[in-house]
Amino acid sequence: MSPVESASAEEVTSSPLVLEMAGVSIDYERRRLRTRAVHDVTLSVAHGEMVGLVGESGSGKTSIAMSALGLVPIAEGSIRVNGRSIDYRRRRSILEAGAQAVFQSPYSSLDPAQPVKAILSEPIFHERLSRAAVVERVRSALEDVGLDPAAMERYPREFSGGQRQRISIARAMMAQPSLLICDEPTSALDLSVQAQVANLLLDLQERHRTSYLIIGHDLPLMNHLTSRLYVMYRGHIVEEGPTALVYGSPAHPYTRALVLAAPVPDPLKQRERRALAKATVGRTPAAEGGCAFAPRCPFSTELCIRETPQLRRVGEVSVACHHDEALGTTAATTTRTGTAQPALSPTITIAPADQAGSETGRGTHASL
Amino acid sequence: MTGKIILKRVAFGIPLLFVVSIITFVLVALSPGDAARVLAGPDATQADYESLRQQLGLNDPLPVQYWHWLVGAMHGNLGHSIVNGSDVAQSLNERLGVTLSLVILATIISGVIGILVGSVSAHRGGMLGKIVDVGAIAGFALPHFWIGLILVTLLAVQLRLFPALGYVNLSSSPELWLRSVSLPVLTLVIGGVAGIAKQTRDAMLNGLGAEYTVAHRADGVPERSVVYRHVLRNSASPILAVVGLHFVGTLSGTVLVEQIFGLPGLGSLAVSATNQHDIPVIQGIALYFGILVVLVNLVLDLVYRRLNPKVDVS
Amino acid sequence: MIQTETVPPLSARRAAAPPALRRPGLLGRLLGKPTALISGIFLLAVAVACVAAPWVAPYSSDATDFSATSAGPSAAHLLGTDNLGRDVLSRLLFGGVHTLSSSALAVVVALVLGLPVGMAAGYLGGAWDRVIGWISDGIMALPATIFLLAVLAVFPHNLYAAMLAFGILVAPGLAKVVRSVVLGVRQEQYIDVAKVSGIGDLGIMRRHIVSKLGGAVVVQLTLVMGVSILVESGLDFLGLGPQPPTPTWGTMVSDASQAIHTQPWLLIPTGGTIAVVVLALWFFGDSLRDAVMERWMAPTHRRRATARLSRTTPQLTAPGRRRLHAGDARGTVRRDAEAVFDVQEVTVAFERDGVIQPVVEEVSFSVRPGETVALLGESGCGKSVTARAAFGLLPAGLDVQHGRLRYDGTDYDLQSDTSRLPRGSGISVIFQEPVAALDPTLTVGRILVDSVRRHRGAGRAEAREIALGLLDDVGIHDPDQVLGRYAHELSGGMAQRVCIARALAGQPKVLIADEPTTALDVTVQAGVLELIRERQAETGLAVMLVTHDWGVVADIATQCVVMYAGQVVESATVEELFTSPRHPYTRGLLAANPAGGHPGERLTALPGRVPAPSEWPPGCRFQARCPFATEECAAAAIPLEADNGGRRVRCIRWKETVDVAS
Repeated sequence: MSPVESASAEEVTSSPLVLEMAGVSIDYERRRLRTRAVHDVTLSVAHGEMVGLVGESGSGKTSIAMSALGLVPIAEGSIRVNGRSIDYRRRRSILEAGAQAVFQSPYSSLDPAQPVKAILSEPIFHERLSRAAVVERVRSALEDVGLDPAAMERYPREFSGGQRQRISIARAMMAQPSLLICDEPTSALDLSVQAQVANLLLDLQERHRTSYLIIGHDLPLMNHLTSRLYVMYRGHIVEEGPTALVYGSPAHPYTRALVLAAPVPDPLKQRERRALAKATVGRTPAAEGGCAFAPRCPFSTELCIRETPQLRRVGEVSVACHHDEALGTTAATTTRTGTAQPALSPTITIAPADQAGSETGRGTHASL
Repeated sequence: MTGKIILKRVAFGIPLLFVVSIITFVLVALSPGDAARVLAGPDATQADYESLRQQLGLNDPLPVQYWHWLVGAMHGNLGHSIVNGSDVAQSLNERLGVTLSLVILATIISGVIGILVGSVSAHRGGMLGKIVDVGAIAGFALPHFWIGLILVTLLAVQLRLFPALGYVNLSSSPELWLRSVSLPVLTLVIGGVAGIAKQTRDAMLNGLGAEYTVAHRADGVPERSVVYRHVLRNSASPILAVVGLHFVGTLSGTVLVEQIFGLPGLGSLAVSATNQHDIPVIQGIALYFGILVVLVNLVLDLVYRRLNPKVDVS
Repeated sequence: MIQTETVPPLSARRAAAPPALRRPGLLGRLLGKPTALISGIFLLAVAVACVAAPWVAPYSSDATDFSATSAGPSAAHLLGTDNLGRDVLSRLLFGGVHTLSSSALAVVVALVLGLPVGMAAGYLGGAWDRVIGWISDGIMALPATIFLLAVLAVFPHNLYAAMLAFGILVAPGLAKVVRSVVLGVRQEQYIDVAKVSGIGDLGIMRRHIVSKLGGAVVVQLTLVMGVSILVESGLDFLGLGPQPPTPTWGTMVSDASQAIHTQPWLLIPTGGTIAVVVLALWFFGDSLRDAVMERWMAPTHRRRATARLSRTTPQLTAPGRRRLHAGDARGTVRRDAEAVFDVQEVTVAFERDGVIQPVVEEVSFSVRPGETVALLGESGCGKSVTARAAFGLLPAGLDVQHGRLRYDGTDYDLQSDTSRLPRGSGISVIFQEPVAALDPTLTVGRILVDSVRRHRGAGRAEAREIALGLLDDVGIHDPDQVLGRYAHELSGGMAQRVCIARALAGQPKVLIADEPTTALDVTVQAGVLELIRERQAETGLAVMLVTHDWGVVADIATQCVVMYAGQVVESATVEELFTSPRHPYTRGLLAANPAGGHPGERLTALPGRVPAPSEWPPGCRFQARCPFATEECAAAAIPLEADNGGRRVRCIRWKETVDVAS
């Protein structure tokens, strides 16, 4: 699958994980001021998995993506792809390890001065193939993403946003990577086109058994695409687990706030969610150290302000919250409607993630 | 706050002046001419020549010579002309007034007209915009000394409205002074006003298309206010920058203009000094021009601060 | 029932690349531009003629003819003679080489120094950039002529030395231009992609950066050449160049200046030559830049529209105008008596090459007090344009062809009468990018106080109090501090709250919100939407919301108007729309929403994409993507039909297809 070269067989096979980030911290420098953008993050993607990473602006999710691609240096920790460590100083390390990227902007991702053929042949530049072989690879990559191979002679400006994103995906697949890191791959697209590209990602996974790390902020889309989900807030991972559970019955107060804040296309349900969402917002003065979410958390106590919570395994998910037990993580271990009465919060009724929704038969959707 | 800006500007300006003086000094060192030889004259004896060299400090190593010059300059002593032995600082000061009249008048007039025309053409568009564009190209392509000559031919020779040559002191007769500087200033203005107008217009068009402008309008701000208060203020940075550049340009332009119109300013002195290899004079003029540039940039900076206090320029 | 499987073969066909554009090489493109052709040939001719002067010139440079001194143009002397009877044309030709070659030297020096320095500053950034910037600024601040004079004092009459020095003085300007291009490119995502593909820095420069420099550098070089010619001839004019009898353009102008009393004509060919050559350089550089960039960039629209308010436009009379949908007979849309904001049949169009192309056609909707009407659609459907037309602030180039607005009982003609609209005091707007919507040179306090004073006539102190109250109303916890802040110091959410405060300062009855939360984080979005709801409940504000987000519609809207390709395709209450959508587009969009999908299964995606205005077909505009399209759909324009309950649908088959679904 991936062009893994001189790594020892032992190193490769002993790692069942395609992506391993351990204790990664990233610093961000601006005008001589150094701030920590990412704190001690541990993240992994197994073979064939589609893993999501959600967060809002300032969460550090883009920094994670950039560091995993070797574009940004890390202050602490290690990153390995297919067992090979990723080195910011060695540009080829990511390609050789078998990972590629798809970025957010369909306009900024393609060099307008290059025809599609040149754009697509960039990742295999090192393989020094003959011209005919390159054309053949380009042709099959374009077909793979559902584009007419004649596109290779055109320039990017002749394509729409959705088509450009397909070209970006085709380019990422050229080097036959085992890991695809996608940073907000559909955020800049219209809804109808988003669906096309989302489907394409699923198709490619089926066809090539590629693993994905998808970074985004659109929870319903993440719920649709990914099997496991990490939630980040201000540089920390606050929750992690199977997507259905994290989305359907979030344990961490921030995850709850995030899930409930995303409006769903159903007016009645939305009214209910709004009522629940009100309970997720609180206000205490900000403080140094401690839990990053404490100032906004309705359940924060003095402990929260004092001490940074660590990620702890609770049932099938991991949560970074001092009060995860009190806040009804029984919900995480149940799959039926739970009416747990946690000590600190009002009841949050949670419906199972796969309940059938409406009468029009337009498909089901996760309701909350 | 203002004090800090002044300090910063001056701090930037001083090394600049150093660089100016050092470069001209280095050029001096390369000069084939020999000041002592020139001053001594063809009839001097070797002994006279040697003592003159000693007197002028020409036997000292270069850095020492520069140091002497620098110390002298800080005391207002810029040395003596090789050609006629006159005190450089004094000659320059006598002529400073002439040059200042020209460049300051030209910059102010160009600035006012340019900004006015530029903003109106941005607002109204149409013919005025085209005129500005054409004017900018003409202002760029037509040689300024040629424009001056055409003006002289038409207005001084054919129509006799203005004198073709000569300068009258402001103190002796304001009216005649004005007439004597009109054509030279006009020449300098024609060269640069269109450039200012175009830059103003471009910056304003940018601002007129910006989101904050739409928001102002949506809030009911009257159109006149939107254009001539808000957008103009937002465009201050590039406009002031081009005015500053224009000023530097007039310093170059005045060299030619003073020649054409026979004005006894620093520019014409520079030309004759060049022809006569009168290095100390040229050094002095370079220094004076450098100081002028630093001062004008400082003034423009302060004007910008007054318009947009606390706005982070970077 | 809409197909649930994705259709890879179909999408492959439908995603076929558009036909290849004819693409001639650089020379071909140049030859196609009259400006480039004329100026280029002229410059070439001048250069060749000057170099070949010994063979081409009619007379030698010092041949005198005392029978025809100070003469004007004649058959024997095309450009006349000077006071010594020397032929002007010949002397110009002989003198050209000196000027052109020394100017070319300046250009070469500027290029050799400026290009790599600019690239280094732009690509490496950081300390390199700062130091280079400092040095560049310093050099550019020096008055050039003095330096050149100093050089000439040292190397008398050596214009090559002077122009070399000039090249050094001009190099920073070129470096600055190069730097800004490189900086722009460095931030593009395709650079990151190249790095991930293992391309080194030099490779990136070669593959991606050099191609962007072509246009800018070409223009700069021709400008430098022009300026060099001007400066060089100026130095010659001052007598600092080669001495007579060697002819130079500058000394010829100087000779002419001696003769202005006797032979004013002489100024024309001498100075004129310089001027014409420099002009030709300018025009050539301009079109060369266009030719270089055109290969991959759409040609720039030459006629620049001024960014002024839309003026009154003549009715559609230009030939080639598209037929408006006759089906939407004017006046068939029922006017809502209770509405405070009633938009009727707005049509907006732009003009290109004499053809008037509509982008929004016959859009109508109304908003009652306390109601929220959402204008929903994807990009390119015309919803934002409609909103802007409704409050009379279209961007340059777009004009309202016709449309009426009834606000609070008063009628306004949206084509000609928008200056009367009570902006800020009756109808307020908030925008998609809140930080950009605030004047960067004014504090929040200044903006709010101005607004309050303008709409309520309050004094300064009173207005400040009101402003503080407004900030409090929008949920800002430290209004005193915020009053002193500038736009760039605010977060997105806070900036939008400030914009809302400003919008409410005049106590309007209608708020138009153009994608107000699209640029905000989802938790922040929830807060802003909640705020709008609160203000609405308190004051009976009517809200018109432009959005592409179904969730936002479900959250805050009471009515929804769905737009596609410039038309309303469906409108209904929000409950009706979500429970029983009628138009195939609406149904397709709802089905494509990931919130409604099975995790891991394919979403029901709409194939194809939204057609651009120039691609609108005569019949239904959705037909290319509609699974129910028939020939009838393509035949004629589809009218927008309303039922008794006020629901509108633009589809002739909806009854049949909805029945099939249930």
